[in-house]
Amino acid sequence: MAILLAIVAYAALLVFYVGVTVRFLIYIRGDGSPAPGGKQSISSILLAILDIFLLRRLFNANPGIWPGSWVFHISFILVFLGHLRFFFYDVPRWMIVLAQIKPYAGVALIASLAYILIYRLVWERMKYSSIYNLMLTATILLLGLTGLFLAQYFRADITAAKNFMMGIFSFRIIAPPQNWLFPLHFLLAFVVLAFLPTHIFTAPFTTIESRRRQEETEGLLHD
Amino acid sequence: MIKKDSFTSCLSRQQVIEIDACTQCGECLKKCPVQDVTGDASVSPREKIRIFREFIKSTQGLKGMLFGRRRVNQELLEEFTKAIFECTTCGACGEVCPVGIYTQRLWPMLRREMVRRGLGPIGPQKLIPGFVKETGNVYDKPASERFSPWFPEGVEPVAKAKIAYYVGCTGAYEAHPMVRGDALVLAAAGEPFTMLGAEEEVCCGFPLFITGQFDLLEGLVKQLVSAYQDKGVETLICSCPCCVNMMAREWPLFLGKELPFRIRHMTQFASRALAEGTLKLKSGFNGKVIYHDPCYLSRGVGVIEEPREVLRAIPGLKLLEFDRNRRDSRCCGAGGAARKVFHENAVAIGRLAIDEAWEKNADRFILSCPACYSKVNEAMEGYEKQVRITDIMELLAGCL
Repeated sequence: MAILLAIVAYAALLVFYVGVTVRFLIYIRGDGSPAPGGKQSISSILLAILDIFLLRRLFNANPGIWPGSWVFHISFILVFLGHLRFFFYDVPRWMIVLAQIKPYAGVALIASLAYILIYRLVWERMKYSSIYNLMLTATILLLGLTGLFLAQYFRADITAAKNFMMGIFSFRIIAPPQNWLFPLHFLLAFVVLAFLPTHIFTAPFTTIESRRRQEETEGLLHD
Repeated sequence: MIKKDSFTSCLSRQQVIEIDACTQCGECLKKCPVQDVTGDASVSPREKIRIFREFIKSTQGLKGMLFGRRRVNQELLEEFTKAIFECTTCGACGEVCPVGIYTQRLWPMLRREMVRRGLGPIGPQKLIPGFVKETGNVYDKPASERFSPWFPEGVEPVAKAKIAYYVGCTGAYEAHPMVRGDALVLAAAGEPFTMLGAEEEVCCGFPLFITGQFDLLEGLVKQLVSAYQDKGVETLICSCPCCVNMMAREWPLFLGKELPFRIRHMTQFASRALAEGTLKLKSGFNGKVIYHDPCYLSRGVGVIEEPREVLRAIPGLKLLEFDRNRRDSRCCGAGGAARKVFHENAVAIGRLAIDEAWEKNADRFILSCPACYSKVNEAMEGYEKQVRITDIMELLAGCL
């Protein structure tokens, strides 16, 4: 079992790192078209950061789905950060604090994903949703649920889990904790990593650029 | 340097990032005019980005690297080409996009890629470069007829002036009341203005740009900029939003430097002249009018309030708004050079706007774009809901 989980983890990490590298190479090679560009004011950059943090453009586009989406993004980050203690021998204080917040963030994550799915499937009747989006949402929901069950009902040995994770990252594979749910949670996490939408890296740049463009547009035909 | 296999050669770095940034959320489908009338999700903005992303992945992505560059399915390429040219490039999808993808500029570049591959443009769009080369305009009409059928008697442009008026092909050949109104308003404001000769005033390049046919662009831009510079122009005025957009956004890129003059839309000139009192109205208009924001004027260059200021300055006029207005305005169906190829879509989209104007009981449907003017008039032909279409400068000139 340990070997199988390790293979999945290494394969997912390889897909993730190589995929990101290849995309980066594609980005830097794409420069064939004359493109408008220019300076961006500090206020515009600050507004763009607010746009990203608050998902303002999504709020304008679809205020109905916004609460679910915003809570999902924040809680996902908190849950991810809350897992960092599994990867460090000396856990700093802030990681301990985040780990204490993680259970609440986990519940928020599940609730927000359930809200998004219900909103898309029932309220919008899937009219505008893509299968990819729904599959990804459902996979992360399942990941969250297995995590919640692991933390609350089918508790895994945290020390064994940490040792297993540390083993994976130091290429010294040891047995995972004796818990039937742990492998499922682990596999789902790496499936999400392998299929992680790269928009999480590129969308913030696009949002910052859209603010610059807005500023540019205002000055195009106006003094 | 354009690479043969690459699908990103025609794109800027930012545009490659934008293609990756699409979350496939589908918000754009709610605002896409082509979706509204066809219901065909394969021509949706999201689907176009998804398919183009696949093209990139299969040639330059991990799949391409590991398993060799795969030949992209020709049928899929052709379907994509149709979808990308069916778009009206109104940019409503980009306006609503939760991450802010600049689709109004992305679509022409994807079209350019398809042109490079010999798949686009479609139908009559292929004739545009030839027409522009031969006649200087996109309609294959003689240059001698550019101004003569509509230019008002008694209005005399001067040889050199700080202000120049560019008519544009669509206004000159397809929207006479509009450009006649422009000339009358310019003259009434009392400031001397200049114009290029009918042979000299060639296409601004927008139809070539929007159909991805870039070969003639640099030459056209340099020719026009140089001609206006020779006339000592400081402000170039035009009433066509597509031309204005081309001049303000793209001309500097093809020229390789900042323009030596400013670009202004005709409604900006009129609004300022009314506010400063140089333009005086002798009569008003008693009735309700509904104003349509052209995509390339509102979303394109941010001219939103000036047309409304002009309309509000007309005594007796009551201004109505479309439900979707300003930067959220609905396409009239004329954009993207799709109207000549996908005529039925364009008429159906135009009729959605007519429906709303009719339901709101507007006496006049006011436009400030020659392409909108031409297409909405076509959509009105034989339609049971009749609303009189009037250009904003035509209306204003009638009050002078």
